[in-house]
Amino acid sequence: MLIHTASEGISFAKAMETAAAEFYEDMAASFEEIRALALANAEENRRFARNIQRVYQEVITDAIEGSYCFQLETANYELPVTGSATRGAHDAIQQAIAVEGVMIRFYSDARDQADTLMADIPRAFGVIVRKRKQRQGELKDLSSGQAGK
Amino acid sequence: MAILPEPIQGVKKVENYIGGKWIASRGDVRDVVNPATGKTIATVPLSTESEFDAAVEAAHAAFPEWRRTTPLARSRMLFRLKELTEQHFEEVSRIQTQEHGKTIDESRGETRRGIENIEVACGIPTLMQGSYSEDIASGIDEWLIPTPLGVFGIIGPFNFPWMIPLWSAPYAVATGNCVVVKPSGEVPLSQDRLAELVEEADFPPGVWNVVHGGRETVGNMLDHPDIVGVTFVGSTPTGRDVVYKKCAESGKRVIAQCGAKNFMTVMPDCNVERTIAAMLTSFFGNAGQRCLAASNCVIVGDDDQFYRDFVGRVLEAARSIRVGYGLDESVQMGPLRDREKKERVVRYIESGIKDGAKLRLDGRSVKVETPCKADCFLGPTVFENVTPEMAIGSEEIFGPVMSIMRAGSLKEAINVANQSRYGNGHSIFTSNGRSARQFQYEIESGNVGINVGIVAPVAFFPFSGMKDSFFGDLHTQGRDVIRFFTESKVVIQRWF
Repeated sequence: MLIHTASEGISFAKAMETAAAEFYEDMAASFEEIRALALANAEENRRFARNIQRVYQEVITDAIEGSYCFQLETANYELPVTGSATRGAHDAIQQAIAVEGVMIRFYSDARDQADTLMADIPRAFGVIVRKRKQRQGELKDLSSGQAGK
Repeated sequence: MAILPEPIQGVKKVENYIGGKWIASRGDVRDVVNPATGKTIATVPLSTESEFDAAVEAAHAAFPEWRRTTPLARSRMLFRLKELTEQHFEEVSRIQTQEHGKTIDESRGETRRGIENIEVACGIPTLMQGSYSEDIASGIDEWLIPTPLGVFGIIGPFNFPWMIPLWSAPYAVATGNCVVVKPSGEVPLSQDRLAELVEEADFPPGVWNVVHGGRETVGNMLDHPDIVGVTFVGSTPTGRDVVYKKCAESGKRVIAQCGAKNFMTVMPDCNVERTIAAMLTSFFGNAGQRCLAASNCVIVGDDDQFYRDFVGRVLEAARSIRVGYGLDESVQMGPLRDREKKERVVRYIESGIKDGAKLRLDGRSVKVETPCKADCFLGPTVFENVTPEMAIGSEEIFGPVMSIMRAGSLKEAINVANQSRYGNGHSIFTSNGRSARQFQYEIESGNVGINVGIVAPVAFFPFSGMKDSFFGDLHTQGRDVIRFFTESKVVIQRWF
């Protein structure tokens, strides 16, 4: 499904954040050794969702191209969030790295497409990309530490 | 995509809000119909003259005490109102989509723009400050005090049911005046909800009144001796020949913001992709029902290849616009407000064909997403070879119709736009600063866009307008509207 409007784009981003938060909560429940990290990530995902909604609601205006913000194909951003609890912690971290990769791609594409529209929205997306790259790096470090365990 | 839940369920019986009380009208009622679904969502009264008089009387009675309420206290009340509107942001946005038909993004944008005016009015202790000159002569000082005037009437249009009364009302009450708001009878629900929030914010009874009705209520407002001024947004014939004229005769202050025929000038050096997105919003957003909507697209230069490519891309983009119920988040364009308005636009399309313009995209055969009733829908329509002499090139259509013209030079494009009797919101799309400056310098338009399709000033700037687009002296919003709602009292003082 193609996303065009600001409203759809924001709803899709919030749904992704919620799905990713639930993924991390499942991870926390399944693996004690990465519980703290997973819960922190879940909490941050929900904060991202609230922040996206707030930024959108504070800058939306009928005068900017709200109906023509995006050309995003949702099929390109399906999160690999199923089945984490059935495997080991190392696999779950690998899965989290993949989830973050999809979300970085989504926010980067959305930011670039909305670049000259309501400026605060692409800026907020840019902040999330930065934080997620950092998070992905931390997960990779953790994964290296976990390898072979 | 699922339809967002509708806040208005069933059929709401709209009442007047007079002197802090909700009062059922004894006048006739008419239905408020959701133009996308065809369902009746409310009944609205055509209030009687005595009901309107009662509202003015309540406002008049509240004025002396409200005027004595300090600007800081008035500001705090507006802060409470602002907070309540934030809490109900989504609800009031969806109400607008239900009553008007616009998309949910457009409604949220309208909600935000309205709230911004409440925010700016919260700054009234500073905005309303006077000025002081010491020693205008030896030992004599002189100062200016902006003082409120009394009761103002505010007449809202159908195209922005929430936002446009907020261009005036928050400033009127912030400056110490009282108001009687008459929303459009076609879309009364968001102003009805706003009045409930005004009540919840604890404004004193009589400061903010809402009386529903039609033309007769407008006539009552214009004739009433205790109404000291009126703000109006609507068509040029009504604004100029009725509101402005009557106010001039009776000595009332007036802001009459009226019709438009906006020109988008496209230079060959523009950023094509961004220009098309901005133009689609401007021509087809709100189904073309806005006084800042683009109507004529003038493509500059003799580069036939650029012209063909640009028009081709516009057509491709316009063809793919999703039309349907605005509470479906994927919808990019909603219906016209009602069938009569649609038929009026259809008559313009027919006149364009008859006058020899080339119809490249015919919105009359629009595909509408379910579950809509098709009566009020019209798709994006695009004409080529339009001339300024044709009705579609010169008159306000107020619908999703793009008329494409060509001009050999920027000078010629500016001249064509300046020949229009309107001057509301003309824009240029270019990457050349010199062209942009020439355009903003020479164009006769109250609001000017440079790479912006809808030149809607934010709340702290006046919503300007020239020629047949505006009648009056001061504008709504910004410092202009503070001056409109206050009289300058000048004091000269010396002590012996």
